[in-house]
Amino acid sequence: MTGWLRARRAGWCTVVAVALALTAGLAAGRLPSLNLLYRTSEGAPFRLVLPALVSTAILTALISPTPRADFTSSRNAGRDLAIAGVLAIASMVSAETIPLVLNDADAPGTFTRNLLGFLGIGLIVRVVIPASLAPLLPLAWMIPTLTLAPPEGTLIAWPLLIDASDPRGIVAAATLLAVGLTTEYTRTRRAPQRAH
Amino acid sequence: MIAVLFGLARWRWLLPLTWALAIWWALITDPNLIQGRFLNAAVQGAQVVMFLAPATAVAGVLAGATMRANTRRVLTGVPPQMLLMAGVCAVHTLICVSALTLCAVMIGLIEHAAGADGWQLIALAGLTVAGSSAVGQALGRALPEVVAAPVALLGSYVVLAFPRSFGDPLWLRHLAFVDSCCNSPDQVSPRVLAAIATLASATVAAALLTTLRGRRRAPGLLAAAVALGLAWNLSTSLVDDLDWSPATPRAGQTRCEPSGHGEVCVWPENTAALPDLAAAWATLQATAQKHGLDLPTTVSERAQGQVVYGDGHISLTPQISADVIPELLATGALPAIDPCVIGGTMDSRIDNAWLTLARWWLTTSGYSPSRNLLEPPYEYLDVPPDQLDARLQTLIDAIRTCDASNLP
Repeated sequence: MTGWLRARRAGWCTVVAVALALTAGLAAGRLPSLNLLYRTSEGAPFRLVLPALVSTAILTALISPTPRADFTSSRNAGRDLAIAGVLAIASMVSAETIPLVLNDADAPGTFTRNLLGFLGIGLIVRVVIPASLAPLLPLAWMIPTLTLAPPEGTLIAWPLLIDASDPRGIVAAATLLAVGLTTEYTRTRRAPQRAH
Repeated sequence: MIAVLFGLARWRWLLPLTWALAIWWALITDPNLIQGRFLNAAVQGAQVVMFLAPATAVAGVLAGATMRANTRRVLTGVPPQMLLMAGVCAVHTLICVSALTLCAVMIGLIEHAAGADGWQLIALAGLTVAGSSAVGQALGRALPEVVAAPVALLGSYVVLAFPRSFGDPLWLRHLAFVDSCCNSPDQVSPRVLAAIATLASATVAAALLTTLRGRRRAPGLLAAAVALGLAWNLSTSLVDDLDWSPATPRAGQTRCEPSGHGEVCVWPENTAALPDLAAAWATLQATAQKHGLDLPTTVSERAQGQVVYGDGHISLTPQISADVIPELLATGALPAIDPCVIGGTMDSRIDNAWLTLARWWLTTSGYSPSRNLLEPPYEYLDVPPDQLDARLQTLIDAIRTCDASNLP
């Protein structure tokens, strides 16, 4: 098990994910960024942007050095999702509890929503692009969101919705996560020759 | 060799991706920013580099990782790494310049933009992409792929997007690409173009120098650092006194058409309006000469810095309708009232004199004034014909001298 985790850089990914989550918990203010369509530079709160980086770290921990061998192994079923789940929970706890303890909660719940949504995106695209590139997709999603979307967010630009209870954000993130988990579950049961 | 370079550059997915991004960007660009000028189409088209550069950086990382792996596997017969890296850079630049050109041309065609300036912005965006590719390859060679790819993706986006959101220092926004230029009397400052070119070229050179190995590694890294430092200093000194928009007075000739005793001159993108302008200006001039008004005989669009309102300066947009042309010409040729504003206020009699003059000139020439030209509260020109010319001259003199003592 230790070797399996080491091969996936799980230790480094945990350190990076938790450090970024702690930063999201502690960071106040906004990340300035140029919006080309709305001609603003106000950017988005750190708590909304950093989940993209955290999900990249978590998805990196799912990259197998021996993908073909993994498909023939009976012991691997569910391990990828388990490690993703553990890292996601650790990150969410880190990011969401600090503001509660410090009593300066800024957009509570949005870190969790965005992290789960981004993980869903990463799990979905692992089917169609090489697994080593899948961790880039949350970042790639965030770039046009910051550059083109209305600063207050929309259904498509759900990561920018500042209110965690906004149904558009909940629906978008939950749908992406559900499709991602289903895709990953289905993918692990494919024939070995379909593996990346 | 060419096939190897294209393979390393991942052209199979990079080319469709960049073209798709270019077409998508051309379709969502705000048409109001183009103003019929290809330079503005190029400014808007080149902004797609904010998406092309991160994609190219990731392709660069993959190329760099492959080159590193191949160097380890095959110790002999491998072409010089710097040559391979420069070749991949060239392929990436070629792909992205084709996408940038497609984007600018599409925007230009959709918005009927005219002119031939602005290609230098496409070339500069290509150079920026070359920098992304080179840095991506250097990262791909130095770091594990899973680390280098997110760093390259995020880094290339951050470098392009974040400096443009800072108000202080303002010059920082001019070092990546041009996003806010140009009004009709302006063009992009050559200093901005030189600054971006210098920085991007130095980035490419520095990334290539990192490929040196053995005894040449330390001097190579030193040379890379020196190149970057010098380029940074030179670039910042070029742009450090520029304003928000990197604009400079427009160079180049206007297109003119004779009209009456003078002519009408416009920028090339407004040439389609010249016949209407010339016809209306001839009519207005005839009225002015009949009554001996001392007004300019030539009206013209002018470059920033040469604009003197009330001296025959006009400013057009390609969307201008024929209905507003006479009023545009008349208000451009009448003496300006702006110099009469002192301490934020102006004698209302001067304003009324200007309105009276403008309305009279248009109605006497057979045109209807718009609602913007408010009707003055008196009929100063409602006099017998033998007194009319003197009163017209009184109005003009009062506006020119800002002296309302002779006005009602």
